[in-house]
Amino acid sequence: MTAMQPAVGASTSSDMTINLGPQHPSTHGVLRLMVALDGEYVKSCRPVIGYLHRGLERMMAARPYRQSVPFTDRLDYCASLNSNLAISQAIERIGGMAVPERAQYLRVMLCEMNRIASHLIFFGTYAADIGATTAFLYAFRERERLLDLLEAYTGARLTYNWIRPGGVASDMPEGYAQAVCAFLDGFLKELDAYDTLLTKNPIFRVRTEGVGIISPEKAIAHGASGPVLRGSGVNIDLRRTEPYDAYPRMQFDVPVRTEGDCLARYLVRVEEMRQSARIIRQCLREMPEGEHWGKQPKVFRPAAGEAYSRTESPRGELSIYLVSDGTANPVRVRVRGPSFVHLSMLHELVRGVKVADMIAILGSLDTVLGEVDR
Amino acid sequence: MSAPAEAALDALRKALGDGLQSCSLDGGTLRLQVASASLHQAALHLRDADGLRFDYPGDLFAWDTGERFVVVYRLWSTTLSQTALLRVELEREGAAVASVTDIWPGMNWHEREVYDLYGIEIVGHPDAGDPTRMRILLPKDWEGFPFRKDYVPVFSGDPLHGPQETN
Repeated sequence: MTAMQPAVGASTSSDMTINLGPQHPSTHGVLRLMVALDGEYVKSCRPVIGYLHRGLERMMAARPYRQSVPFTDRLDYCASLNSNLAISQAIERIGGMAVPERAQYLRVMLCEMNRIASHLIFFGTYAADIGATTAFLYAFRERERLLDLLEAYTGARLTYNWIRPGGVASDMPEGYAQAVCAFLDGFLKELDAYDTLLTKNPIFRVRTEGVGIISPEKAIAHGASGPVLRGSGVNIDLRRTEPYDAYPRMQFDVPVRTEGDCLARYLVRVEEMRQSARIIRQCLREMPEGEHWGKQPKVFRPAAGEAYSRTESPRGELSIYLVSDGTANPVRVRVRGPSFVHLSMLHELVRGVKVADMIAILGSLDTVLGEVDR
Repeated sequence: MSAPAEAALDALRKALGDGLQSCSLDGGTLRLQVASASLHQAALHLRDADGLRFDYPGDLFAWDTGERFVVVYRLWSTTLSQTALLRVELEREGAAVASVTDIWPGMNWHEREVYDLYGIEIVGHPDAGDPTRMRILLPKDWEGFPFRKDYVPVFSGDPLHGPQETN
């Protein structure tokens, strides 16, 4: 803030409206920001979304329940397994299906592996947004190893379609637990190196500390969730407050920062990667023998009614609501994604900041447009 | 449900009268159905009354039963960890519902989406009355509301609106 900064909202002859995106690398996908600028300062910003709208909810409602799982891969494509879990849970609840205990552990393990992969994308692209290209290369190297592991199990690198109503598609291959443990050993050492590379980097801190502050009241009133909410000092993690699958049996800490700025959201995500590693190790250690797949009805026609799931995806609360009228197809499949909600806060966060800070704030929300546009 | 919550629900019954069409507690989830005219008052009460404190806008969406529209507000209390499902049923003809963006700013984009996909007017929304600003997922000049059961897709040949005509 300098003496040169004009009053927010005051109209001057130097106003300029520019479009950032929909093809700008800093917008992390096809997002367009209509920004009114006064010199370096943002006077107002209106996000324009929908470039990736495929009508996934309507498509899911036009076919039998269990065929909707592959569509969820295309929501948050950085963390598809977490989306698979959300739809599977909603279908299990509306149809009263049970999930074997081993499958619950496999699900939690997969979701946490995907959480690390997703946070690594955040780590890399956020550094790149701010101008530190090296961190991007490091993060993608580790992510590559993790995707290789996921590919060895599920056969896919991004669109897994692996967690399904009733369990997971198949059990782990032989020797998989050792391979995952070996990865985690190396990964945790690398994560410490990332701290030296980026977290303690004075330029990175100047760009993020005190930038884009969200108060806890504002975060709650806007429906923020995940690292955005916990970066503002609100200790809510659905894996804790409304635990599902094997999470009630897991020991892990929920990182919370009270600063509410971009750095706080970054630090929450970095610490979450360590906690995810802890959870994966527990899963591998404590996983019981048994089935990976519950008993399935041949024809799935849940009774008329409604059911929903609330899950903690890497970005926050991912919730799917199903409405049944007793036929084979749902009446409505509703996807409530965290990115959509976080993006709706952007215009308030960036009013009066510099353009470069706007990019830092947008990156710290870690939105994925596949989930925003659906 | 706690004693303050019972008292708050009694107060709500008195305040809304016939506007409160049903109210039940189902496995820890509070399910309410209100007349559309009472929606804003009910929402404000749910957020502010002791024992309810639904301060977190969980979700807002609609569906089309074929005969009427159903709009559901999923609310959550961060302090009391409880969920409420507030429901409004609307006739298809001239369907409109009051905006709750002033109560929960997080409902702003959800309301735009309900308009965009179902054509339900959101009375009192900051962008209400200007379809080009209300549209959110679809292009601002889109015609029709594609999540309605009676929606028939129209391909204009414009690449933005559908496949181009081929010879």
